[in-house]
Amino acid sequence: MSDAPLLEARGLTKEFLVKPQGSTFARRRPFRAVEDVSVQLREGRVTAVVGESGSGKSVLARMLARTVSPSAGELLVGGKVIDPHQRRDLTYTATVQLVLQDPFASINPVHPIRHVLERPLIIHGTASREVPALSKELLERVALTPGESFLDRYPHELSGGQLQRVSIARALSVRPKVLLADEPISMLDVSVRLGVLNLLRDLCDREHLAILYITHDIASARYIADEVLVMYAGQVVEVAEGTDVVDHPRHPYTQLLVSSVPDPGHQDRVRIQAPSATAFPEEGCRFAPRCPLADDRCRRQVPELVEIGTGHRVRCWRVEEASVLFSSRNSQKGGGEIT
Amino acid sequence: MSESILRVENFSVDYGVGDRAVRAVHDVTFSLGRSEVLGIAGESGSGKSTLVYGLTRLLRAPGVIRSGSASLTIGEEGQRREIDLLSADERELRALRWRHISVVLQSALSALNPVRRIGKEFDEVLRYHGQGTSRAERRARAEELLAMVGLKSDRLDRFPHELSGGQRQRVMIALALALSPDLVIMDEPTTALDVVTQREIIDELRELRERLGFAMIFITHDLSLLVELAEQIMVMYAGRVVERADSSDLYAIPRHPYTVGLMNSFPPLSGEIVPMSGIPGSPPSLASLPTGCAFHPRCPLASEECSLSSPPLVVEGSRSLACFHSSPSVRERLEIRS
Amino acid sequence: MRVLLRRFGVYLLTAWVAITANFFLPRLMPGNPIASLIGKLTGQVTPQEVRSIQLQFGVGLHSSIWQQYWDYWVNLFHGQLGTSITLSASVSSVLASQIYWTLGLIGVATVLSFVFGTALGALLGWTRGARTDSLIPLATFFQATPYFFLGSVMVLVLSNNLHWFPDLGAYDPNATPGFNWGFIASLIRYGELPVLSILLSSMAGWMLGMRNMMVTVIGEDFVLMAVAKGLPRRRVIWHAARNAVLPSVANFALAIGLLVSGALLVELVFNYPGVGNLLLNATLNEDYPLLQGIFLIITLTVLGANLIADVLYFWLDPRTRTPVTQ
Repeated sequence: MSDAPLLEARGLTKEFLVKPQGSTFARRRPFRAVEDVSVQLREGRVTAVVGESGSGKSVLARMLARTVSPSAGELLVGGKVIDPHQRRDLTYTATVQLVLQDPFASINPVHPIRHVLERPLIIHGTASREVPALSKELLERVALTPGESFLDRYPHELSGGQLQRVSIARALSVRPKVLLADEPISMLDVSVRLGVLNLLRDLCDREHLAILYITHDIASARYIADEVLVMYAGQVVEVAEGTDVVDHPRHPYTQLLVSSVPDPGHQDRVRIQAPSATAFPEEGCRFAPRCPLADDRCRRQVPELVEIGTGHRVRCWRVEEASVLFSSRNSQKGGGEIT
Repeated sequence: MSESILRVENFSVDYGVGDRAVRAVHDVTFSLGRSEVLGIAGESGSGKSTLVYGLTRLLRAPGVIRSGSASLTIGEEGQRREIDLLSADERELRALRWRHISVVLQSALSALNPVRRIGKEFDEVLRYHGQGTSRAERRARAEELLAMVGLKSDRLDRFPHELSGGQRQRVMIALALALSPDLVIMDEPTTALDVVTQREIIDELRELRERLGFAMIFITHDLSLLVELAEQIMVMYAGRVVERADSSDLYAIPRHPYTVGLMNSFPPLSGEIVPMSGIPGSPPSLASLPTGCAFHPRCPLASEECSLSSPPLVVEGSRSLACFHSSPSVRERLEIRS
Repeated sequence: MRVLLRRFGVYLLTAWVAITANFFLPRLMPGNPIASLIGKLTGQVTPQEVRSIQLQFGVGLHSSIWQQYWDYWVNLFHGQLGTSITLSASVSSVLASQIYWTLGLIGVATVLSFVFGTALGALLGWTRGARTDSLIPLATFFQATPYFFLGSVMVLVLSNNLHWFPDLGAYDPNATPGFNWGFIASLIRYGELPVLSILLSSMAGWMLGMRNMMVTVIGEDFVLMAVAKGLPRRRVIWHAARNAVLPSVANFALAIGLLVSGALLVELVFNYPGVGNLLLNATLNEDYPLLQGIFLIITLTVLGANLIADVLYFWLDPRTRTPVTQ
């Protein structure tokens, strides 16, 4: 495996000018949808970004796909910095591909599947006589067999799960190195989700892709990811390898998130209480208004992302107290245990 | 054993008529206790929403109730009355609506009239049901209701699009409880919300239920949520009930392969990472159901008889099951992690 | 509010452009308009008329174009739109005299058509699939029939043969014009048939539009909610109609804007005075000052109606009030 990540983001920030709600004559103020996010996508690894709506995860994906240009920070492909003035061209899209949430919205309903796969193949230079065989092969790579039977069907004739696989096949047609999947399974039926998720993991392992998996479902992130990032209000608040983020969450927000997921096996654990989300504060830690541990420093200064264990980084001034105060998911029978 | 508030027997709903009719709900039988929570779990095409819209006579064309009976028991202790939901006329239905049965729809944004302020919704519901003789009185009651779900009274002057998703859903719940109904039906109320807001709302619901004692039907695809929230769970597939049991029983010993597969579709939050597969294939379209048991093409236990006839729903005490192959060891046979 | 102010600014700008175009257009015409006009009027022109034409076309004047432009605006603000060649009176007085007829007849008819059309459309949308649906093809038939034919047939059958309605004209020739009941009563009587004919031929549009919107809106969840809440049926219909009428309101404002161009066919069939006739004669006689005046009024009224439509929408649909944010 080469050293440089296939795709890397350093300090990406995206600001939008927004008028505060309810006022008509106030000046537009900058709203940071994404702030200082760094992430490395490496070959053969699935990196998950977990966040709620408003966390900035989709804007991050758009910046990585270069459909949105960052306000600050840089992007590197294979170790080389991308010139922000250079437009997103075929070389880039042949390297980095995006798969979106709703396959019925991202695939043109008036064309058959054959056309859906043909277009990117031809645009990226495949000879037209090779296209039919390649299309069939792509479909089989995403476990839609036999491939021929799907080529002449229309999108509305396929189920959500099948169509999402077509969407992935379309992304694979240009032989990308990186696949950015923005909530790829949220709109699918529950029983179908794991199939598509397993497919993504499989593609990553077999074909040595780098995969970015964006989701609001932390359990699915734990299931397939090699590294998990948790985002809140545009910032990365916690990063860890494997299952550490879910098994040993250190940031108060992550703990709130993990304890909110329905888990019938552990109904007696301690629940974290935090008031409902309000507008993000102008200064200091974004989570401070909701955090039971917030003190003056939290409210004045934005914490740095600090390494607290191998590959485990947290953005919190009071991370030690956070670990002691809340129970962890792996506690045996009842909450209150310290991990 | 609490007395029942809702009794449904052999209830069926079709879409369309004649040869082209598609059966969306097939022969559903269940009962609900006075303060009980029934969870209905299923995916698209399961008929779970059609079932409750049919029972409350809110079906849209071309939905048609084909057969069965449904009765609602209302009234004070000692003065109970049974109302036949399916044959009630418009006047009787109006008397029942909101006062005895209320609904919370999935998308609060489209359920609330976008051109009216929230306060007006409360005012209208209270006014048309004869509660509160002056606007001030009704406003006070609306503020009470909002406080019950943790919202500030200034929300009454806002429009729906000015509220967040979680706030809107809370408004819907407050509205649904405005007349202290006996039964509240919730159709995927938290599906569009993030998990933290969902948790807050579920906790609030639990508290409200303890305080007010209403019965609830909660529809969702998230089986783990139901195990936490409901006392009874009914699993539906392709319009039929495939399994019904007390939630703790269902969680401990699921007996239908679909139930097992469904549970196997939610990666756990702890323990070793073990490969999970969900269920191969996808839920069938109601217009072209497989022969025999609708689940058999996806079922690891399917045998020939499964493709020939649809297994009947067998009721044993508080459990119902529709499968030829069920046994307590189904779970082990499917090698599902517990 | 800011959204509205910005819109208003755009309208002001548009109005300015329209008025300026109105100023320049005659000057861009080729040839010598003065000579041809004088020729047409066989030399019988008064000096005022010549002056008026000169002002209009900017020919034979010795002031700079900017001076003329400035004068044009000054005149505009004084209500001075020039002198009509054919009628030898000031354009503004000519317009003023005719516009009341148009506003009265066509205005009333348009409003009635809108009100009845949308009300019927709402009911038809609610009872979709019932036999009453056949009202729509019927109304569309009347709308598709060429108006002069429809109007003429109505006059022939209802007025001439059955004598249910009076003869052509705007009022009883025996009545004395003025603010007396006899005159007003005859105005109303003579106006009934024209209004009826307009209703018949234009209601279909409103009905169809409203009905289709109703059908869409009824499918929305908040209507289901209204039913689920146990509200009486007329209240549910009211809710649906209130939302469904929004696009029709915008169209209505535009229809009002176009009122001032008159309804030529109505005026012809019923021998009714109005701006339509005025416009026709001005065109036939190449009475440029009058034409310009009419066009200016039409432009400004349409712009005004657009602005009113915007304001109405703003008021009726609160979603348009919030600017697009995250």
